[in-house]
Amino acid sequence: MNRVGRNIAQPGEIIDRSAAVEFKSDGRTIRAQQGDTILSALYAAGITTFSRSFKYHRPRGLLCAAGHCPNCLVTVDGEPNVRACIRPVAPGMKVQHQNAWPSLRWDFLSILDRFHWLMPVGFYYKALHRPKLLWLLARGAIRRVGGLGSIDIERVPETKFHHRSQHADVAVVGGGPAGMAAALAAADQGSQIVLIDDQPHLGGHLRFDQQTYDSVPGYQGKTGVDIARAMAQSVAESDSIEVMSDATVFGLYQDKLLSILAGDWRVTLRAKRVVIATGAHEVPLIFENNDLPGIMLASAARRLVGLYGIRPGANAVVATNTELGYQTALELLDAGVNVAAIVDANLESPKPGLSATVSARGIRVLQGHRLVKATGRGQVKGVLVAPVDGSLQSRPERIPCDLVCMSGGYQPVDALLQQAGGRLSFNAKIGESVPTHLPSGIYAAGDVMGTHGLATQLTQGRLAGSSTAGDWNSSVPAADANDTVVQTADSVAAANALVSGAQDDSRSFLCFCEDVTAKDVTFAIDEGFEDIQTLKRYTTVSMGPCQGKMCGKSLAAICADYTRRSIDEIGATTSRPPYQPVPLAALSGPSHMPLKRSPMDRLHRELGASMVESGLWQRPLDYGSAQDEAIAVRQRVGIIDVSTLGKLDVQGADAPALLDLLYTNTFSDLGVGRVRYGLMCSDNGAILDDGTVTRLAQDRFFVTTTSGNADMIEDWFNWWMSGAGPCVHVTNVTGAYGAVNVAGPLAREALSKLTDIDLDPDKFRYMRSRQGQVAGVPCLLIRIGFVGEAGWELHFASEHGEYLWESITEAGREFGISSFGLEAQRILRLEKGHIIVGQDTDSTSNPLETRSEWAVHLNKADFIGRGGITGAAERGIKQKLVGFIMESGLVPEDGVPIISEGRPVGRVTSARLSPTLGKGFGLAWVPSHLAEEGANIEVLISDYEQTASVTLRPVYDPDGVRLRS
Amino acid sequence: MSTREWINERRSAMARLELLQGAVMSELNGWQQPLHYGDGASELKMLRESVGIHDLSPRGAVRLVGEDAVSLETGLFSGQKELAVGQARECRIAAENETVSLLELRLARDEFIFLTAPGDAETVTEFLRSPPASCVHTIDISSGLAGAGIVGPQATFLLSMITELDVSSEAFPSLRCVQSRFADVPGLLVRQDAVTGPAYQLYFTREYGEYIWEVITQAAHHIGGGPVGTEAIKRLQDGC
Repeated sequence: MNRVGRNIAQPGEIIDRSAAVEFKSDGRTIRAQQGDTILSALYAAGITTFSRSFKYHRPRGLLCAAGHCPNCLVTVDGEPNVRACIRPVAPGMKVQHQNAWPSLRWDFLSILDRFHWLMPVGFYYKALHRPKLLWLLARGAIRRVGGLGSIDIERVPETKFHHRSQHADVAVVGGGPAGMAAALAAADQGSQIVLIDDQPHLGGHLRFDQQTYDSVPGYQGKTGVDIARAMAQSVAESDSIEVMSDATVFGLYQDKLLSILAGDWRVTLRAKRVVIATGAHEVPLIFENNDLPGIMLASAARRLVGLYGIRPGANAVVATNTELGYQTALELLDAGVNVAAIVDANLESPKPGLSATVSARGIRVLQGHRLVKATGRGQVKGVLVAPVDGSLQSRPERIPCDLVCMSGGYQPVDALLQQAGGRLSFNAKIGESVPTHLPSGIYAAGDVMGTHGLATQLTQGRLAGSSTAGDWNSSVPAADANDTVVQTADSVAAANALVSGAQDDSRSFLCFCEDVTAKDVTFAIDEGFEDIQTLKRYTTVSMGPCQGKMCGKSLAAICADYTRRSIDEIGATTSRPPYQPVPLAALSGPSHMPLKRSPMDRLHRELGASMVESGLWQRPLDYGSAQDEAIAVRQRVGIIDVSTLGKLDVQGADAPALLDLLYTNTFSDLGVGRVRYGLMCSDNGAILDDGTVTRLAQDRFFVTTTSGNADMIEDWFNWWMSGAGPCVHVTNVTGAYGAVNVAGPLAREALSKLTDIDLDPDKFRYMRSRQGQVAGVPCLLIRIGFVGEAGWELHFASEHGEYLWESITEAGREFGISSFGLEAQRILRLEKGHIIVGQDTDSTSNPLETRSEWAVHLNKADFIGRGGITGAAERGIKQKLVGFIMESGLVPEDGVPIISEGRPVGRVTSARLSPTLGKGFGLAWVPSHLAEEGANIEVLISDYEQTASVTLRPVYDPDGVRLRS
Repeated sequence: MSTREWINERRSAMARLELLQGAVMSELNGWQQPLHYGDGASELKMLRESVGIHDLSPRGAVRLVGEDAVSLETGLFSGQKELAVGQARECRIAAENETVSLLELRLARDEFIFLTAPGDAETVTEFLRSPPASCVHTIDISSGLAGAGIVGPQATFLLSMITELDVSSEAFPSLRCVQSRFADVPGLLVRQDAVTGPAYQLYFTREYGEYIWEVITQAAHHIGGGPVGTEAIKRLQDGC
């Protein structure tokens, strides 16, 4: 008979023995059964080593079989760090080991284990840092050697994860007996329940529990498997309960918002009440070589037997301090495994009847003993056993075995309780931290409460479920050691004794994720890290993939024992989401970027535009050559999409007062049909935004803002509205209107082909507006000149965008019309000295510094920013924004410094090559004394100072003759 | 000016994506609208069995806002009880030679939206014109909104993929409206169930049209749905 392998059918098994599945593991074909996990299939095939450890590359086998520990992380079809114990097999899947070279069996880096004494905990904080080059090399090596698989950067992963939200009256987390009882009780109250369980089938530990329960009301004489099935059936038959299986709640946030990973879905579930019935983890024991393959939690062995029909070994030793060990021994015996001994840390059996039963079946019980060491290379071959009372003088007894099942008590899965704001306290009677206070609407039941007796778990679940229907605060009944718990005071003492012996040994692993030993922890405490939080960070215990599930309780126990404090004094590390590792792809979800597009977006792409992101907008940067486009505007006619401008419709009798309040200049005196530049400042006088204001009617204005600020300015308007008067309303119409600017000496001729509006300079003057039809489309025409040429800004209903663009370009063809993009516009506006807020200004620039005092009307009533501006004037203006022209043909980059006497005194905000001058030019901040026409400044270009001369007038059409023509 | 007759084609913000998705466009109410996406029968099946999404951008929308909005609205729709915030109702107004159907939404204490059939916004704006002295304003926002109809038994599920709102029948029954964020951008959701099942209208600012359409079509594909044309919608409404 093989040492391990598929056994006879089990009543609770979840495999389909009639359906075979084949997959590859490290090139070897593995034949599995439908329902197997990767791990159960490999184990059944005789493979018992699944990974190499993080730091020392020690071989690691099965530990928990429940998706909690790091021991079975593998790469599946290129996806790293898959937990083999919970990933179902699929035909053709390719499984590869991680973190071992050249093979899992013969790992070159396992040599590190021989030199473990060179790498105590925290060695990388202290060693290898001098000389600096050494650390660079060491860091690279450490990163290469450590780790958990690697990402194939060539692989383009599918976006398989999707997000959705859900709502429920009651969320029950945990599908064990307490969770199911809670869900059924809540359903009886008429609630809608979502029951979330991280296993493929409901039942929790009962699914592989073959003992018969005679004292559980309603289930007398039934096995755990039977009870699980009956309850799961009731749940399935309830119309009020939705079951989410194979789903992990990885975070519980404010207002009972649960983050759940359910297959390819990331679900955010908001519930009115939450019942936490997350159960408890079994705690590993700490002894020398406790990480050898073949040493596993008792519950893992029971899962192999009960769920997958696998015989986990031939000759077992069960080490325990609870009755669970005894139950495990009996189930192993039933599965055909010889049980060489039960090593019980308790001086007396926790349940004498059970002890008699195992003895009657020929199992040797070593009461008051513990494991000292496991022997073997790559697989456990035996254990050394000694008394727990410290009488180690006697020679430890060696017991040969190929399977060690360890059960060191329970660690409640209280992470979600902590995240919900629950308070926990260490209950010395049962040796576990249990909740002492739960926030309103949060309930708990079962193992997580320190309640391990099935009858009480069910009662507690029903109570929690019933309570969710009312507005009652959660009650937290104290765990009752006499009735509800398996552990006893003696067993707790025994567990502590198990811990205390291991601290001197350097191969007794506490943290399987990070390869931290019990000795490492005491070493760190000796270095001063006595606080559990700093101890965690220094040693990295509980910071690996298991997030403390396997080590949290033992860490506190060792710390308490070594520092002679109580576990309550030690406290616990903080639980934060995610409680379970979650792929980043699951958090990010489908790849979508909320970008804004203009109504003419499609045409720009067809015209070959280079599109850029400008804020959230997609805009054409150019259509080939920005310089050519700029020249076309100067010499002929150009058209640019300015739909991205923010646009606000401001209506109401109090609209003029609002505008006068918000802008530095005056709008209450603006005539209907007229347009005015508007400058807006924040309370401290810093420039916030600029744009134009067109008066459409006595009580109606059309306001434009910079492209990126539309939403912010809308909010700004609404914020200040209350101060302007009761009757004014602002509507953001940015999306409603498409807009183009048609500019250039031939713009009038081109547009005149499409409209009856008289565009003659005397009839349609600069800074005026008209409403009429262009190519049959109702438009608002505004005559302004951001680029410095005669031009019209046309605003029209967005749905006409493509049509109007095509109509204008068709009409302008005979005049050599050219589309121009953002870059050409930047060049042209720069030649006119027009600023772009945010590009040429920063959060402190005021209008006096930008030489925009002409737009500040201090003679009007109060306005936002007035105090800031007058204050700045009183303090004196220290710097100004000026134009400059390079003496050489060089063009500085935006942002380079202005130098004076070898020191930076200012900076270039925008610079380009001027098609008009054929020279580099731009805008720059300079000290006020240099803000003089013709003053020389030095611009740093490629580390060389280059001379430029200051100009205070636009370099193009300084008197605005062309603009007004 | 030339005497040329202008042929004006209005396009929704989603037109480019709809064409890429295989839409066969047709002119309807002055708009280029997807007639179908190649297989009208499959589209009808989606509407009946999973979820279909269709472009509602041609619909008209008029905003009524101001302190006196309620009194104006009450006066215009006399005989109807006051609409609560978050509720919607179907109503009709008599225009010159026709009756115009509306879906009236109350978004806030002092704000209403009137959704109309394509081309009716101007009539409605005129109908809602306020007396000069009152503090209430109307504005035609049809061009600023893009819209998507989400119809079918899986419509609620699809919405759960783009919003955290509870839009189930219990929490958000027919003829309710809400402003919230959908796929991270602001939007307005209206539920107006069809005889065949749940039907939602999602409106958002036009500049996000392609983005939202891409998000919801991808979500719909994931659950067995997809975009549908006007033909399938009409056949569904006709009970074919």
